[in-house]
Amino acid sequence: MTASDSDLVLRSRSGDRVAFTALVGRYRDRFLRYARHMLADQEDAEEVVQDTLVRAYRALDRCEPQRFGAWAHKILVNRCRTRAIRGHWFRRRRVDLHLAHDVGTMDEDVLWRDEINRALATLPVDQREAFLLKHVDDMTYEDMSTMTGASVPALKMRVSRACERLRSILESRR
Amino acid sequence: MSDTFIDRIADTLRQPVAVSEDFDQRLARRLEATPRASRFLKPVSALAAAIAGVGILAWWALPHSSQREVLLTIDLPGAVSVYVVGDFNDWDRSRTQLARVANGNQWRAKIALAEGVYRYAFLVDGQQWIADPSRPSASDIDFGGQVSVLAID
Repeated sequence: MTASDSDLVLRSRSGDRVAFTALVGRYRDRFLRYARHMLADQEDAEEVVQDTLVRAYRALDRCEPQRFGAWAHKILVNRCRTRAIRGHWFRRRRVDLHLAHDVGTMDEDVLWRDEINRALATLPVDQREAFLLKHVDDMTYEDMSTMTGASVPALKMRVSRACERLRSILESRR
Repeated sequence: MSDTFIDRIADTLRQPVAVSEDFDQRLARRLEATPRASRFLKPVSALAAAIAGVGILAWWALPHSSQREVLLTIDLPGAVSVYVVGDFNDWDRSRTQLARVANGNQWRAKIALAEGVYRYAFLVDGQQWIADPSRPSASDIDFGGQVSVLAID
């Protein structure tokens, strides 16, 4: 039988490292995906996810056991936002250089994925964050509001603007 | 424009992303350096984790030779309860209790610690803080008094 998050958190708190390892295994890939798309850089994404998991481990006592996933994701969202704002101009330059170098050898699917990532990287941080939480992580606006601290109307506006901009950029390239 | 276009974008973004081969190893090292647990698992548990597919992080779950067991003792003949509280248990007042030994005067607890420097103090009867007289002490701004310093190398 698969252990619940709540059970794994309680066991981790009492020193059971295997339990925390299981939690990492449960959320690692999802967190990496979010961070990769927020930051447009694999190295930055891995660093932020590691930082998130270490912080979560250290602060497990402050976590409602049954809400570990949402709680850790909130840490990740905050870490990504901070990193994205600080590294905005530098990261965009790296993405552009990367794409300019690789485009000639990409097949269509890879090219399409890279075009999406490139378009995502042009969005303001708050719009990118809202778009990913809504359309990739399939969160409700209420959960997004809890996670980001923004109001539901503000989040709807951000998602709408993000969709509009992505359409505008990507349609012109197809 | 229908939502189909956005759905197509979202489907693409839901695909797994690349991860470095040494990601778990680096994470295990960082977790190893993060003080938290005071109880450790039997190797068979870590083996079970490895079989379950959690990869190299299972290494982190093993009790390592780099971790040392440390015996903390203090003589407190009149105490009713004694806890040790410090960096290694996130200053949790109720996680690590000392046991009274047979003669009734001494209290002791055995804890396993990885390499590092830890600050701690004893909490006696839930209200009195005492630094460990057998180890060096230092002032602690957060704690507001003397704490003991324990170095594991």
